[in-house]
Amino acid sequence: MRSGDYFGYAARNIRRAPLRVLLTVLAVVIGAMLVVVMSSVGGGIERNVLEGIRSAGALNEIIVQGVGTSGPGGALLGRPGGLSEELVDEIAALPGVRAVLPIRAAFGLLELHYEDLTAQPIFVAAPPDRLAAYGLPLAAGTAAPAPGEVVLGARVGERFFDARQQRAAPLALFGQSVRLTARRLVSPPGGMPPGGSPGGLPGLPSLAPAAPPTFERELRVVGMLAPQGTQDDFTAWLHPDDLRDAIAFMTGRQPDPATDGYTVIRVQATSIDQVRSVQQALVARDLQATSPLSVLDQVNQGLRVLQLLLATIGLVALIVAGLGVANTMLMATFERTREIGILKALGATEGQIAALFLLEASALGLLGAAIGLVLGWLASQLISLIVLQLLVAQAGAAPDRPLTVLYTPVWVVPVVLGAAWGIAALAGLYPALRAARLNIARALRTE
Amino acid sequence: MITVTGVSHTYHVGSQPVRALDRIDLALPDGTVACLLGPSGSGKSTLLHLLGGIERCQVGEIVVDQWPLNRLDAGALARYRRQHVGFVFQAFHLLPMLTALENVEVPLVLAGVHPAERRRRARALLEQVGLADRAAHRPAQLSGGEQQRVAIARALVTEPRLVLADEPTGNLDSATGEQVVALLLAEQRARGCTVLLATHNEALARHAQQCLRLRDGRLVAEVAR
Repeated sequence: MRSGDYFGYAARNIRRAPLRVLLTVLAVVIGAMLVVVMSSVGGGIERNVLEGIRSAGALNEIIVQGVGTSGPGGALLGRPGGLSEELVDEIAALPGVRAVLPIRAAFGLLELHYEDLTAQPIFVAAPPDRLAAYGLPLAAGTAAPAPGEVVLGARVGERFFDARQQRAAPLALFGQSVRLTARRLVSPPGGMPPGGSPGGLPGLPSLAPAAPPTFERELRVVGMLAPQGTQDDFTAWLHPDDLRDAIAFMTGRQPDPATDGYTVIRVQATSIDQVRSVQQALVARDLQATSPLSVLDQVNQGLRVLQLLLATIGLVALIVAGLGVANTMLMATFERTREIGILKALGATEGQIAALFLLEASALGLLGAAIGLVLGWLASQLISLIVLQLLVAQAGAAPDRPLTVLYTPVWVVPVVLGAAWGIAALAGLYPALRAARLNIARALRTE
Repeated sequence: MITVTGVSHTYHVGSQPVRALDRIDLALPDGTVACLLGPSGSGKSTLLHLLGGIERCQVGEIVVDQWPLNRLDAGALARYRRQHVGFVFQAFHLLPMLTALENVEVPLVLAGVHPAERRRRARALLEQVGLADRAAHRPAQLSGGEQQRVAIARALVTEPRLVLADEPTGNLDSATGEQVVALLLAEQRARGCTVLLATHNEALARHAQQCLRLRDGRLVAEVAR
């Protein structure tokens, strides 16, 4: 038999009992839809989690943090004996390291002004030579600012507010002049001196109420970074001198490079393959080293289990649908006993008869799977849209980064088609073999 | 040449064995028109089924034109039915969802013949049996005589060397039955194939060159004309 004839006969037979076929296919459609929606729930969770991890930095990066730098005081001032210049050199010499970027950071008490608008990006500074070598992707200008200059992340211009705390339209700041201002830290009465005590965590500094900004520096925007989907998009890169002056003003003392370490060191591995070995080398030096990749590894493992669990729920529905296919095909063999006898009497082989029935069962499975895939995808989109609307309505504004509620992974297509085909073919196997082995003479006598 | 040697065949009705054929020996030369006579239950259909490879013989040996039917596996037996034998049944046994033309095509479809070629051959045969204008009709839309003519066309479409007709006029009135037999014999003359006609209608025997009479599964008379 030619392949076209097999399909022709299968299609003709499928059309003979339309209602029964419709119900059978419907069961497969529901099963396939469930697999798609469940996988999309898993896919959505995965995407959000991975996006969150990815936004922490590039996958070939390792972040080394100084002990106690998580609090604002520590971040602002660095820690004695923390991330020193010697350590930076030592890390840079490790095999598998392409570049290092030691960073001092300051949050919250510094502001950036443009005309009457204000923004509070993350303020960081790094040695210009290291910054240039690190190769942050540039959209315009230079990556290494000189004193009196600043390089801005791609989305800093979107985060300016007016005096009424209303967000302003995104600004194009390249080549413009902006003002850096700082407010002085005041320790609580009887508390520690500005800068905290050398031996322990500093107390949280509090803002002097209504203290007017007295530190002010005019900065020219000499570079814009390309968007990366990470914290860098919301970062202002200052020259170390400017940041040092601002911190000195805020804390009331000059930072001592000999004792004050860097806030973090960003380490760039030569490739993603090198990340794990570099990270191990850093951890072996008692350093707190994390990488998006290591987090990704751990999370991925958990997510895989979750996705498998969700997809299994759908697969169970698909297996139940398979029972419907088996029932339909078995009915077909009973109804068509005489026809099978005729075909065999005319020379059909057992293989041809079995193939006809298997093809018919497969067609039911694949048809249901194809419709289920489309409807499942549409349902996922609809659920996504509704949930997103609800989230936006609750939050009152659109989220910072595009939020995925349900995401249908591409692998769902071959998995659903393959599973539906496999289950349907398996369900059709017994009816097909039964039909193939029918005794011709007895089949011909069937009314 | 058909050679049947010592063939016996037993059915079981419940637990009761029923001997359908009992030590049959016969030989039919190529191109013969033979008539298998006998009352219902005499074993005519069983012998036809054995000769057509529809059933396997339990005892004895059947060789049809070098095809040793006892020794063929299921696939080879199917090939034998497809290539070598044409069947005409009393109940026509046409496929109800196919048109007359498509029914005639079925053996060629099973043989994997190209669609254009098989359509051409099926049309030609339908024309020969006088049903060219009924090609697009389904069996339910055809009379008994027309259905049997479609069945004859289907039996001949692969140009078989052996045509087995089991009570081909059993469901037809006598005039239509005569026409159908005349058609079958005309085709036999044109093609030179062997035709074995099982019937309990003694009148049909006049068309045969050789008459075989079965009673209770035994060949009681063989008359050559």
